[in-house]
Amino acid sequence: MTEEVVYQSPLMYRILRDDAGLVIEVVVGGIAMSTVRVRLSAEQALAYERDGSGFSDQLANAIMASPRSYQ
Amino acid sequence: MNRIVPTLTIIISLALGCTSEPAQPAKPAQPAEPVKPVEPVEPVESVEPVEPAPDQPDQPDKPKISTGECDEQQAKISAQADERAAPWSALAHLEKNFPDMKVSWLMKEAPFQTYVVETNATNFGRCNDTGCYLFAAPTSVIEAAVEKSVTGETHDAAVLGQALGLPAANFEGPLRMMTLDLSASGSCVRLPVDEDPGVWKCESEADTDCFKFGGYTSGGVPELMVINAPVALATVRAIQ
Repeated sequence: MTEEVVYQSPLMYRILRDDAGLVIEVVVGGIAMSTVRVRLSAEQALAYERDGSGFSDQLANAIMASPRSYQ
Repeated sequence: MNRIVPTLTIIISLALGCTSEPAQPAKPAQPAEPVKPVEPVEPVESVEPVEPAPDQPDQPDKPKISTGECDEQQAKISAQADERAAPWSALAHLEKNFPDMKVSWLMKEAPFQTYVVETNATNFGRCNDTGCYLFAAPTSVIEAAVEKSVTGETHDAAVLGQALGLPAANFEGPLRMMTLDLSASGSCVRLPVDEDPGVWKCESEADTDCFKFGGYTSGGVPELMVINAPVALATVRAIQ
């Protein structure tokens, strides 16, 4: 599956596009950092296309604050 | 006449004696002069005796404890955090848990490559227009946990997780351990607060990998928020 980086944020997350749509990869954790990947729903993908990093920053912050909810 | 002369001599002698004697006792008072050599006090007054302090064996390399160079905004956040944590504070935290002013943190290899190497990052951590925010622990704590987990060429994620009070999943696969000497970087440090980027909110008392205010992870490891930790001044160790 090919993967393209659509956007990379200094907040340490990326929006990726693969064959199935958009994925957000977020660096989570404090003194030990790892990543969580979440596929964007059609609605979220639309919101990203519309609002850009304004939307993805919010989503990334929500994932950082509660990674388990998205795993 | 023979009697008169000796008598006069005695009288004259006594008279002279009476005038000169009082002066003599004064001389002994001059021993005060030798007191002048109190000049040796001067070296005591000079601050020089303080300089030899570095030679004192009990504090050879003890770095100065400092919260670094914080801008106005970070200083304000830090003051509010200290007020909330009182009588604890960032300085007390540094003195107790970071006496060598060295901090470390861990990253999985993939995000290290993606977010530090490939971006040629200037600072570690999550950045916005106010700075780059990084959670860090005492180097001695991270180092001890890593050493405990490494056997041969690889580490045991479960052992590392247990040592740091975090889930083993956080440590699976190759890792990087970063170390920064805060004395050298002068980075601003303070107690982490709920609003910091990357804060993982606790959802229950049983959570052990989330943020709790006060300077310690929910797993009990001391932590600090480092603002603008320069990549160029950090040492990076690969852990397989």
